[in-house]
Amino acid sequence: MTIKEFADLFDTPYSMEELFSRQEELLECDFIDDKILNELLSAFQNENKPLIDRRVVTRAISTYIATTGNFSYFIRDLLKELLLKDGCSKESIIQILMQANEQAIRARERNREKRLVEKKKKEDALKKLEESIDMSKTSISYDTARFLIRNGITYEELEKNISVTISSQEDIDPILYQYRISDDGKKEMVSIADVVGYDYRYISSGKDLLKAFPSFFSSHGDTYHTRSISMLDLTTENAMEALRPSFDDEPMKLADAPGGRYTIDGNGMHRYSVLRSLYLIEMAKGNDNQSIREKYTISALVSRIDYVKTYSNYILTSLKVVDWLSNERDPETNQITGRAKLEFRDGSKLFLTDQELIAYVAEMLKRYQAYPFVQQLSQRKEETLTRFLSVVVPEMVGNYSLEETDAKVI
Amino acid sequence: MLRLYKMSNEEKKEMNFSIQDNYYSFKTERETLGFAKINVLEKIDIYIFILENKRGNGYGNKLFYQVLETLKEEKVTSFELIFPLQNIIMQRIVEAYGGIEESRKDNKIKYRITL
Repeated sequence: MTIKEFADLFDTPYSMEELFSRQEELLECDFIDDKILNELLSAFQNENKPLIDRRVVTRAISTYIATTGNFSYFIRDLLKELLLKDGCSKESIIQILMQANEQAIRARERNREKRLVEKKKKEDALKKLEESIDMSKTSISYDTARFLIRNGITYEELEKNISVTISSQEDIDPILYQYRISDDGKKEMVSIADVVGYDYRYISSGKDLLKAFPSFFSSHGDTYHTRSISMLDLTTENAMEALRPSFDDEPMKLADAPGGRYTIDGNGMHRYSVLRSLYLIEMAKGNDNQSIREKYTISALVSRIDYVKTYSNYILTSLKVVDWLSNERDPETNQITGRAKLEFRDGSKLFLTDQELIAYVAEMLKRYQAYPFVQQLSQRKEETLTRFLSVVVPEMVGNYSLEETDAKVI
Repeated sequence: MLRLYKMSNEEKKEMNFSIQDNYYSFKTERETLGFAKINVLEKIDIYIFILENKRGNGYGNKLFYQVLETLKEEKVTSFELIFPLQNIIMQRIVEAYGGIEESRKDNKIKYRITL
């Protein structure tokens, strides 16, 4: 739909209900987006007329320009088309558009000043809060205390109401951490609520999310510590909007873990630390669970565990049958083929499908009489491991037939 | 300018490095920031080290880049790198240069890097 065709629509008057029901169609117009359309519909509604015709639209647009300062290509061209249809001469259209442009400039200036005043008010209020920090009464760093107080809470209040513990991949499952074989990852929407920690333990800071902050956020120290300190200015009001472009420009990388959990896996530690803290702050304040989960949902690159290959890796390298087990990659495209590559000490290699790999593991367990090892493993009571063992050595653990989907999500 | 300078046997002895290996110092005109071992034989053997008081400034990244350039000069096109699983900093550096994680076992992690 061209802008002219958009203007032509209003040759016929519409009620607001009819316009709202045609939103998808209206969005097909050139140079329009969700934001502009919503603002326009709001402007039409503000005219308070039962039917929206060309005159109402023209008036609404003029008011819209004068209040918001928006005089984008779409708005300008739409106004021009409406004036043409109303029979205005070229000279008067030029005059009207020039006046509208001046009104837009003045509106933008007014709005900018208003925004600056509000921003200064907020900053002054936050500065007052920061001055109230009593470092003798807290066990966290000043930068962390400042971050929390700017979000309306102290560490002691937060920790009393909600768990601030983080878990590493190794905490969740040491076998998966040490023998993990996964895919190359793809973009998924994940809630920060389900991202439980980092890819490795912070030995120096224990398992407390906020106490780990000085390990990578500090206003003093080397560039690694100072480079992201401005992230601690973010609040529950602005963090998601401020960080949203970065989710596409530099996606956070996550690794999945059993139980629908994830950990950071190679990129995004600073952003995660801030977002997870803000998520916990909102939860501690008793805000609605589901809406907070959705608010803190991000786009991330998620790599998923291949349980068959991972557990096969664990068993075969523990038995010292293979030297290394990894994903086979296509030599041309470097893409994972789905088969496992087994490398032996003598330099030889073997390539197996998941079914063949399972049979190979079963054969090796039998050959090395490693059933005590299997019994020990099955006592660990980890569901994914139990399911794998029940497919490989059902006589030991129980019968389970492997379906195609199970191979990946065992 | 940050560069690798091949160490003489005397310099290696001074640092208690093996004279059989190829060692390089990583330095500016004024100071040494770290060292690298680069052996290109049947297998590629690499080790990099940034002096403790120089860490946290991205020098490990720059050193690794210089190592890769040296390997390219030796006509290496692709190699495996194995190091401790807990060495997250090395993981980040290797991944930044396109290294792909291949496997893990016994607290070690293996990457393949294609030049």
